[in-house]
Amino acid sequence: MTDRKVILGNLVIGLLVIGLGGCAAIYCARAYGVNPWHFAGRQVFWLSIGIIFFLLTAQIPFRNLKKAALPAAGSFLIILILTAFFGKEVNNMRGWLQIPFTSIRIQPSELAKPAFLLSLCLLASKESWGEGKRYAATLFLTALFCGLILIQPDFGSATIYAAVFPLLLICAGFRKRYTLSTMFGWIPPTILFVMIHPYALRRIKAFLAPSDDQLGAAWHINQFRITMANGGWFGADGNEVTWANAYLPLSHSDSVFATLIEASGLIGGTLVLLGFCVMIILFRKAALETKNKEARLYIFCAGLMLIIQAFLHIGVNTTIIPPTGLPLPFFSYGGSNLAGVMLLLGTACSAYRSGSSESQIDPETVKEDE
Amino acid sequence: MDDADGQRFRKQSGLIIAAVLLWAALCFGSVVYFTVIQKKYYRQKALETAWFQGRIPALRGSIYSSDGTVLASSRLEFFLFWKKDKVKDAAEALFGRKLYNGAEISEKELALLDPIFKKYPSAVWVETRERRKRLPGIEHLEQKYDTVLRGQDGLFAVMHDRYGRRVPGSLKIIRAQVPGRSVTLSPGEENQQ
Repeated sequence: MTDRKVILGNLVIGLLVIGLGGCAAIYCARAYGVNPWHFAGRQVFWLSIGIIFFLLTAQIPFRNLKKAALPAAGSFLIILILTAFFGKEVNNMRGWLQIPFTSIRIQPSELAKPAFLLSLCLLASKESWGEGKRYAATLFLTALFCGLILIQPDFGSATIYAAVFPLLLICAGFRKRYTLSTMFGWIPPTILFVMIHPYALRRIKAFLAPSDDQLGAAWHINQFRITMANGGWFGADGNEVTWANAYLPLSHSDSVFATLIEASGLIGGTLVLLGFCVMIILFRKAALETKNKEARLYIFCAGLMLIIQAFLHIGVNTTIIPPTGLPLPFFSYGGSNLAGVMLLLGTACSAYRSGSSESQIDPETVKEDE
Repeated sequence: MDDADGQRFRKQSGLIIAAVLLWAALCFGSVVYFTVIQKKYYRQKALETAWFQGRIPALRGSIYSSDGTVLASSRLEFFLFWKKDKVKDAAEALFGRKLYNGAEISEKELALLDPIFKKYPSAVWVETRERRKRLPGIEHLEQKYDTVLRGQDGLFAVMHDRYGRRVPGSLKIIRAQVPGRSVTLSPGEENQQ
């Protein structure tokens, strides 16, 4: 068996194990519901689809994915515009598109991540452009995606798109002034968003004083804390996830980390945290082994995108940042989220394979220069 | 990867990893704080918020005549209601019929059955009903021996969700009921009746 097949085989086994762990977490989160298998069963289905997405994307040569990145990003921008006006509203957010003649809803902001990130990496690595031009192009693309997602309004997803951008600038070797101006540049739109949406301000106030409005804005924060306390060292008595089932909002998606802690305690929560830390270290290792600059940048930033989402979710669930709705990659219920993660990983796998075999100078770039 | 770009990438990605690990440490600290250090405080808060206690009426003792005839007896029952319109499938209908025909259920059996209710949400039980088989004319004797006959009520705790509904599977018997003792009347007391 070739190395390539071994790597792919190991990755698929790893993803299956983590994905099934996620299905178990979703089952726990709905264990006292009318049908606890309703969400867990669907997640198993989405996991199978996600693995197929991963395998298909990993098989496509990276140069073909690079060619398709910008058109795909453009298509997703059009889809996001359509979603903002004709999307399905769920939990006060118009972020889903209903597939005609089916009951399936997709969340374009989750599926767009690989195309967005790869386009960003390509624009940031374009050696024929000056630094200023590369910065303007990447900033423009990020601002478009973030703006369209904020219209929905999905502050959590927009934060992930916005947060990965300055980190990508650092890794791509942009000078500090570009990185710093980006970080400070996000402050005015954030303030504007909070002013337009009063619920965001209420959540920030509740985060600062959680004992003031326990039945109102601080409800989430207090329930997260009680759920974790119920978990203790090894999980609630008999691993009964009663509090998460009865009191946590969206215990199977946006609150799944707290649910996991109630089921498996500090030990389980620590294992998940450690797992994500190991994951980002492996992404860095894979990036360092890759010779192609664009591929290297993409691999590390794909890992960062996953980790940012995971640690923002965990930060919300452990109440160290104000509440916002974000799924935990691999563990939260949601087909679009899982499919988006698998596409991101599949593209990273393709980049790793091509990056470790291709020469550092991309033949296409040489052709363009000539 | 020996080029300058590669070296810079190694250094900068290392710094980002350090920041990520710092964030993970912060999250871990918060988990430790709430699961271990502040556990008692928040569990107490949970008890005050969601757990409610209820009474399990004690089974009253019987009153017998001097020749052993039962003059008065009590029976503790839990009423199980089956909402037929919410019955989902044949298995649930069968479970409902079995319970319906089974009739008498003690509080211990009820605790055992409680997890099954989460599977069949159309089943509802009421715990504080008591049906008596009364024989007329002996109320004052019941009053006289009430302290002996009544026993001690039991206590259960059950969790309510944010909408005030019972959480199936959360029922805990805190204290079992102690049945009352039976009384056998002397011939003189019978004659007074």
